[in-house]
Amino acid sequence: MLKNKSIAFKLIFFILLSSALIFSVMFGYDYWMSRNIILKKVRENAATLTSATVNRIQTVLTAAERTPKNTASFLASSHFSDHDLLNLLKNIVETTPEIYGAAIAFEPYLFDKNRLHYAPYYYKQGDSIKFTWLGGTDYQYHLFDWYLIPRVLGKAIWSEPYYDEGAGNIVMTTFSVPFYKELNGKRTFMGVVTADISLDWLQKLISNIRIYDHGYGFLISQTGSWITHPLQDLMMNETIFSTAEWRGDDQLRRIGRDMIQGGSDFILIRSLVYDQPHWIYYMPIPSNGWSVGVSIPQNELMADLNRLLRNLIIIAVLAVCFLFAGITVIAESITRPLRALVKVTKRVATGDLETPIPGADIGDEVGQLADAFVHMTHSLKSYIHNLTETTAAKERIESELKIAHDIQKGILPKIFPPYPEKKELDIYATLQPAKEVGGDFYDFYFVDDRHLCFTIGDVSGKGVPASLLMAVTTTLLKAKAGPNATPDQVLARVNSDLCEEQQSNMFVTAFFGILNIYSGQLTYCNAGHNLPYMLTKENGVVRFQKSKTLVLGVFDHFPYTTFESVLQPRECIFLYTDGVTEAMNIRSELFNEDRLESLLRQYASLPAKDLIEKVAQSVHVFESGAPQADDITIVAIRWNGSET
Amino acid sequence: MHIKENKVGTVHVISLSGRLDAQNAPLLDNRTSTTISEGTTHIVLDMEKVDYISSSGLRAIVSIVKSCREKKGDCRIANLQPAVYNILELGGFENIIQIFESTETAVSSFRDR
Amino acid sequence: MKPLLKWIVIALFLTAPVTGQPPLKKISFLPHWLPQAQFAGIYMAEDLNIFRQHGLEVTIQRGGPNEPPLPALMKGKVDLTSVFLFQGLEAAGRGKPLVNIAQIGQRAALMLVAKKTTGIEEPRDMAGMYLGVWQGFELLPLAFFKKYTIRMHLISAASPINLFLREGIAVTTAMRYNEYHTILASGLNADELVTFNFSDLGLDFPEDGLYCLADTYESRPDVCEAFTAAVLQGWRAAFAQPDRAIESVRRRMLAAHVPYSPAHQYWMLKRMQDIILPQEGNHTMGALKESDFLSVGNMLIETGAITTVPPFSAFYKGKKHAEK
Repeated sequence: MLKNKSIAFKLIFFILLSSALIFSVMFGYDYWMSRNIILKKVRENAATLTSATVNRIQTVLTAAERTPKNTASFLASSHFSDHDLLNLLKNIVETTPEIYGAAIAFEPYLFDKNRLHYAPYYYKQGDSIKFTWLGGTDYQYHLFDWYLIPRVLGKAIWSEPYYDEGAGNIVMTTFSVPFYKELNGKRTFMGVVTADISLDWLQKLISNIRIYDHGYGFLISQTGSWITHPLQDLMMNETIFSTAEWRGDDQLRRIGRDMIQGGSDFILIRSLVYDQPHWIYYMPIPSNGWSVGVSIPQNELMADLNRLLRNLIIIAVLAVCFLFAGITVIAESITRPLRALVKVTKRVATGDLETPIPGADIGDEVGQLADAFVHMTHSLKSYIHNLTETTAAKERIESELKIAHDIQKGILPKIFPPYPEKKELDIYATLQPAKEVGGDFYDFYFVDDRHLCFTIGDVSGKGVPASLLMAVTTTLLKAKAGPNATPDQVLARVNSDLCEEQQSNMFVTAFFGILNIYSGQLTYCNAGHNLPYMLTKENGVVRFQKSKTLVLGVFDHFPYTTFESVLQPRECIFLYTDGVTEAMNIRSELFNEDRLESLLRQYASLPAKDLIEKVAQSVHVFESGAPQADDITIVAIRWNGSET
Repeated sequence: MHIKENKVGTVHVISLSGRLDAQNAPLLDNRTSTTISEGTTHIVLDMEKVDYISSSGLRAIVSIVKSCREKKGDCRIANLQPAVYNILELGGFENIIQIFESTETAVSSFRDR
Repeated sequence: MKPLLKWIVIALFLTAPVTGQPPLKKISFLPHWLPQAQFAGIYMAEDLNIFRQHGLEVTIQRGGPNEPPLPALMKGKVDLTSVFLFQGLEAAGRGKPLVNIAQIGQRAALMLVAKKTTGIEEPRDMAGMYLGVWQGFELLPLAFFKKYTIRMHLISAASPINLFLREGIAVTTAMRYNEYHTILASGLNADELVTFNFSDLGLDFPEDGLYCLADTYESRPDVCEAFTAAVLQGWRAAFAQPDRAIESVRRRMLAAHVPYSPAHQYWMLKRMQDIILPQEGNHTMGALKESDFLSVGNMLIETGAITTVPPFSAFYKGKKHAEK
């Protein structure tokens, strides 16, 4: 993905990515830890607050409980008249501020055999104390919770909260204490003493709970009824469970069950009021099993933390931007000279070594690179300069040598017939050079009016040294030949000179002969060269006599031997170099002597030129497809006999 | 081209194989000039496995022979294949270089002195 | 709010003085309890002007514990009221001159509820335990005891639910549409309870029915029949438009300062549908089957509440049950 992006991009990408990652991890960790610390603190604070609220409620409830309990004990242990009872009751309502109203309700017919209901009730109305009798056909109080439950359970209870319409629609709860008496030796339930207390103060207490901007308190009864809640519709209408059902909120139901079972917890829920996550803490009121809860909006709880995080993120973003700018500048400062260098080296690569290379004066690695490039171009320039010079020199030498060689080859006789006036002779020669400069040579010349010297040779090796040696050899051969010199003498002298003059162990093969064109007498000497053929009438194609021989230029003082022979008219001497017999076809087969001899037999009677052309053509045909490896040199001398 | 060296007494036997041509001759030249410069003067060239020799090869041999002879030693050739022998014979080298049928005879020729 | 608008338009149209329209006949009705979805059909009949469509101008009085329906009917404080079949028949059996003009509830919603922790698995397991019942409804558990030949301690209460929740009694009577839901809405889960429906116990006594004095019926049968027809139409409207029905209920509950919980009222309306328009069984909406009449009559005689059951035709003046 990044393979083809620029260095600057990669730098920026990776550094920014990793710094963003580092920032995220740091902030995430910080946020998580801070959040936990805050939650812990909030939990503690919520617990403290809730517990304080519970205690205040409990204090009031305990105070309200005391009077009816005392009254019940008193009623159980004393005899009292109708009058005593009413005074006692009135006193309770008058002197106990928490108590809104109080009743002493007797079992049917127990206080007064003639009265089904006997239940005096004092209650506050404004500043005055009012009195009424409870009970009647339409209010059979002994069927109601405040009476029935303590009777059945045999213990004091706080009733479920209820609306009291008579008292001006305030929410009330009633504390009912059963009292008993020994009747006929039997502990008999006599009735209940009740104290009504207004929940007005309780509701105020809870509604005054303010935590942050939108935190609130709430209170539910033992059956889950909302006694106090910011949502007025819920209060005294719904239970926490019917609300949960209505909203399809199972979590709320679970929490409700824990609350009415006396549980206490700190838990995250969705607020019923604000539809936002709230942390709630709840705790039961010991007296009546009601539960006080506080609801704290998480976003406000975390507001400071979120603000901190937001600022940190802003700082981080700024830091990353700053980093971005910094990296961009640095990356640019690194890559600008690099890019310039790339541009320049591309031009250098096309051969433009004169392009100035920028940046070599900078001290950093890029500068060093540029410097290296400068050196490289300098080296390249001087190398090219040297190369150009050497090449030129070499080419000059080679071309000069080639010229020398050509000149040398050029001075070999190549106008045929060379001696048109000499009808005795039919001479033809060819030298077909191989691609590489070779060392073949041939020559013929008269040393006097009747003696024709002829030679053919091959300098070992190829190239310039071979040409040089060839030139030397032909020159020497010509120089050493003379009217009185026998062929062995000529070759011995040439050998001697060559041995003296060269240490490179290059050698020359040569065949040297002298023909008396009047008599047909032939003298010849061989120095390691392929023996020529004699095309005779009587014996056909025969080789010249083999002798003790040695190539020229290696060992001095070799005793060369001259042989003599007499040519018959129309007989022909056929000289050649190994370029003919060692010509190779594409199957790496040699042309060899057998093929040559059969050609010679076939064309023995042809004029020298035709004979040579036939042979040369055959060699070319044989060689076709394969490169010519060596010079092909052929000389044919036919003696037509003396005319005289 | 493989060059194997082997000492039999004072005689240094150099066994060659392959083509002794312009490409390989310098190898032989280098090898022997080192050997000779180290004091070896009696050399036998075992040419049993040489199937071709070019003029460069001949020059290399001449060079060895000359180097040895300058130090009063000699280089002798053994086990020539016919084709190679023909090339040597053609140049007349058999007239100045001693040629033997086998390395043993070549080596022992030095002892017979 | 489109349906509401539509109904307002219809209402305006219907209330407009139309020449040739006979004057509305005045009649009063007292439901046997505080406003709640138990009477949604009647409120709908009022709110959707169904009574007016039937030529009636109905005054619905506020019911509740302070206004027992049968005494009010007898005293002539009200023309029509609703009570349980066993209450109506008991009164008639004692010679009270009242007739049933419609049987709204076709099946019993009454049930027994206990916590599973009591170990109760079948009716007989309840023997010897405390059972809470509404004061005035004691006959029903008595019939249950008789049928299952068990004895239980019966505790009458204005409402036994809180006593049950505080474990003062092991078993309570409850109406499925009301108290049962109250128990659930007090934090007990359905799977923590064991329940017995009277309808499953072979005591499927139909409940809510409409009653008037025999005189009223004889003098104004058309009014009675119109009222019945309007109430049944009201119920059909309530089931068809539950949101509208609950709105009618809610308004009356708030006016009466009765705690209103939508979850509770929707539950109640659905359960009323179960007993007014039962899916299974052979029922005609609003009609009293003679078999039900007889089984309740037998129950009353067996429990000693009455000694003779009046003839069906004398007691029931509503529409005929249609055999399917």
